[in-house]
Amino acid sequence: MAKDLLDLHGFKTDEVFDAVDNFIMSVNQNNLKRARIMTGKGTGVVKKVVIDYLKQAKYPWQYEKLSNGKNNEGVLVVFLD
Amino acid sequence: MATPFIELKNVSKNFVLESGTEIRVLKDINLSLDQENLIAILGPSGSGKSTCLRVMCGLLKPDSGDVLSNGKPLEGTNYDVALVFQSFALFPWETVYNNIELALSPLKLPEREARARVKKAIDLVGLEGFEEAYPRELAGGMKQRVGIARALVMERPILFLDEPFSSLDILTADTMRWEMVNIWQSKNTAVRTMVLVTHNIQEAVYMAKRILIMGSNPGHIRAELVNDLAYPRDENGPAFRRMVSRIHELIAESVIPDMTTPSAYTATSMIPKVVREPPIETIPNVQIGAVIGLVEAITDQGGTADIFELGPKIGKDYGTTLYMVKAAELLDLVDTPKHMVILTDLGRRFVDGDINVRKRVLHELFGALKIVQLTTNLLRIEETLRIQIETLTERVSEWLPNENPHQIVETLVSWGRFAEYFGYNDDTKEVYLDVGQETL
Repeated sequence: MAKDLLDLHGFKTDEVFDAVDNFIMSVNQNNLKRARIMTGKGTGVVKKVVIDYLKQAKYPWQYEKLSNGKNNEGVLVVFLD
Repeated sequence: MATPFIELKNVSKNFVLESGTEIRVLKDINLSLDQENLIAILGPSGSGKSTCLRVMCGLLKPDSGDVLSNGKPLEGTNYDVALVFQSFALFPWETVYNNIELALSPLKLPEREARARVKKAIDLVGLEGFEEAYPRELAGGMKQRVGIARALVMERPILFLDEPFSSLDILTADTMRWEMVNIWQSKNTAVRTMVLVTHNIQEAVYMAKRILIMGSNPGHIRAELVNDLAYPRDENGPAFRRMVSRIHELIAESVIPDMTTPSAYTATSMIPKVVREPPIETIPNVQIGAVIGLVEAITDQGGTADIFELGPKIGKDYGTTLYMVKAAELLDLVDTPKHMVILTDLGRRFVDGDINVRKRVLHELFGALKIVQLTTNLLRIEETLRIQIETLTERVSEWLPNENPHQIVETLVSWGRFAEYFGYNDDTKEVYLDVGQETL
C-alpha cells in the first residue's frame, strides 16, 4: 500500500475516525505534505466522517482530479502543511 | 526534575459545528505528562478528554495556549507518541502480522530489524500463532491486542490508550488492564509513560498512578489525584474502594452540585446581580423515558437511593446515571443531598399517577424550566406558533454558548413532545407550540 494513501474500503463507520488519526500520524512522520484518503462512494457515510474530521482538524482538502479534469469524488487529497 | 514529555499550558480548543456554531470543548487546560508514570484522564463523555489527547498528539492544534514536547513547542504530530484506539481501526484486508508491520513503514528500517520488532510486539501481547489471521477472524480482545502490538512496535516512550477496553467484554477487559500495567512496569519495552483516557472510574483506579479528572462544558481539569496503591490492586480492598468513592463524589459534585450555583456561562451574566434572572439551565442529553425509569427504580427502593449504587441497579454506567439523576433533579422529581437521591413530593405524585397525571405533572415541571419559557416565547411571537428547528438551534447556541445546541434542541423537543408542550414536524423541520392541534 502506498505510504500516502489510506484505503477505507472495508472499514466500519465507527473505525474511520481512529483510522484517519492513525494515518495522519504516520503520514506526518513520513514528512509527506500531501496524502490521499480513499473513501469510495458507497452510501457516503464514510466520506462524510472523513470530511467532518478534516474540517474539525482544519486540514485543507480537495477531491482528486481525474485526467479528464473532473473530480474523483471517491478520493480526497489532504494537504498537511 | 526531568522535563515532562508533554505539557499543555492554558490550552483552549473550539469546534465549529455543521450549523456554523462554534462551541468551546476545552478551556484553559494545564497539564504535564511526567516521565515514568501511568496516568489516567478520567471524565464523563463530552468532557473533552479525547480532544485533549489528540491535542497532545499534535492531531489537533489548540485555538489558544501552548503544547510543549520535551520542553519545546510541538510542531506537527508528536513523534514520541504511539496510539491505541477504541475501535482498533485495523486494515481488514491485511493479516495480523502486516497490520503491525505497516506501523513501521515511516521508519524505513532494514527488513531484519523490522521483522525482529514485529516478532517482539507479537510476543509481548500474546498473539503468537495468529500472525496470518485476518481481523475478521479475531474476537474483540484479540483485535485490540493487534492494536496494542501495532503501537508497541513503534517503540515510542509515550503510549496513549483512548478508551481501549470499552468495546470489550468485562472479563477480557479485566485481563487486558492487568497486562497493560505489566507492560508499563516491565523494562522490556520503550514505553516510559502510559496515558489512559477513560470514563470508567474502576479502570482508572485499577491502572493509574496519577488520575486527572475532567469536567464538562467546556472541558477542564477538575481535580488531580495521586494513586499510590500497590500493584496488583485489589478492587475489593478498602483503600481501592475509598479511592473510587472519592472520585465518585468529585464527579457527582460537578454534575449535580448540592447548591445550585449560577453557571458562569449564562446568557444573563451581564445583567447586574439585583435584577438577574434565573440562569438558563442546560438539559442533560437523556431520554425522558430513562428519567421516568430512574424515578420508578428509586420508588422501588422506598424513595431513597445511594447514587453510587444506582448505576448497577438500572444497568447504566456511572456517568450516564449521573446525567439521568441530573435530569430528574432539574425537573424537581428528585433531590440530591450529598450522594443520596431522594424522591420529592412532586416525584411521588408523578410516580403514583396514571399516564394522564404523569403527563400533567411533567407538563407543569417542564414549563417551569427557563429554556422552555424562552422557547415558548420564541414560538408565541410567530403567527403560526412555529419556527424552523435551525432557528431554535441558533437561539439555543446564543443562550448556552458552550454547549452543543443540536443536542440540547433534540432533547428539548423530545421532552417537550412527551410533556405535550412542543410538537415537531420532521417533514417541514418545524418546532411548534402544542396547543392540542397538530396543524395550526
